[in-house]
Amino acid sequence: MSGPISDERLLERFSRKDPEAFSHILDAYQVRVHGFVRRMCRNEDEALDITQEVFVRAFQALPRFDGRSSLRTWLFRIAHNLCIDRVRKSERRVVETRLEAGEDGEFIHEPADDRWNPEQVVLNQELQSVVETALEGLSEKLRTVLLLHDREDMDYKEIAQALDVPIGTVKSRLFLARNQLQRAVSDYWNEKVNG
Amino acid sequence: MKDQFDLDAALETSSQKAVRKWVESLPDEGPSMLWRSQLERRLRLEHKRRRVRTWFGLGSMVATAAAAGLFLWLGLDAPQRTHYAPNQTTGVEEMLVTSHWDSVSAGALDATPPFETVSYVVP
Repeated sequence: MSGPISDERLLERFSRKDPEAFSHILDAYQVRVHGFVRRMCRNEDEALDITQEVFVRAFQALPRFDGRSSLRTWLFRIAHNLCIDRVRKSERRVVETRLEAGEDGEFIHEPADDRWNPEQVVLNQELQSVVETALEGLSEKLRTVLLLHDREDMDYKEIAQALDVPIGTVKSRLFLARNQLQRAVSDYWNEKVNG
Repeated sequence: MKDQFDLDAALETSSQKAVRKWVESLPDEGPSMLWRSQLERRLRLEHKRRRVRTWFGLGSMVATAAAAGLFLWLGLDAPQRTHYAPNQTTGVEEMLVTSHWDSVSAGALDATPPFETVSYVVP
C-alpha cells in the first residue's frame, strides 16, 4: 500500500515528464484549494472555475517553479492572486469593518465530538454555518490570512511569502480576523439566547 | 519588540485558539468528478499546446542553424576576390603613368599640345 507522495517527489517526477505526477498534485490539493477559493469568492460556480484556473496555471508554470517556496505556498499564492483578480474585475466592494480588540474569553464554544450526540450535531452544524457566514463578512485581507493559517495550517513565514507581506502584518491580520469572527459568532449566540 | 511579543502572546489566548478550532472544523467538499474530468481535459489540451510550442521552437532553431550553416558554407566557398594593389604596377601601367605626368608637366609649361604621347618599344 502506498502512502501520500511528498511534494518534492512529485516535483521530481513532474520534471521527469511523468504523466501521473500532476494528477497526484491534483489529488493532494484540489479539495483544499477549492475550499480556500470558495470561501474567498463566495460563489460556488466561480470558485470551481477559479480552482480549475489555478491548476491550469500551475501546470503551465510548474516547469519554471524554482522551489523557493513550498508547492503548497506556491499553489495558494496562485489561488489568492486569481481570487483577488476576480474580485477586482467584478468590482465587488469588500467592506472592511473597523475592528477593536475584544476582551479574551467573551465567548468560547469549542466544537465537540459529535458522533453520539444529536443535539451536538445540530449545534455544530449551526456553529459551522454561523462561522461560514461570519467568514464572508471579513475583508479579503483578513479572511485570506485566517484561512491560510487556521485552515491550511501554514506558518507565518509561508503566509508572508504567499501574500508578499511582512510577518508582522500576517500576525496582526490574523489577530484581527479571529477577533472579528469571534465577535460575530458571539453576537449571533447572544441574540439567539436572549430571544 | 515588545509589541511583537504582545501580539504573539495575544494570538495564543484561549479565545483566539477557540476561533482557530472553529475554522479548522469547517467541512470541505471537494469538486465533483465532472469538474475533475473537465480539468483533466483542459490539462491534456495544454500539454498538446506545449508540445506544439516545443516542436515549433525546436523547428525554428534548426532552421536558423541550417540557414547560418548554409551562409557560412557559401561564404567560404565563394571565389576569392583579387584586390587592386597600386604598388604592384606592370611595366605598361608604369609607362602610362609616367607619360601622363610628363604630359601634365609639359601642359603646365605650355610646351606641347595637351595630348599624351606614348612611346613604347616592343622588346
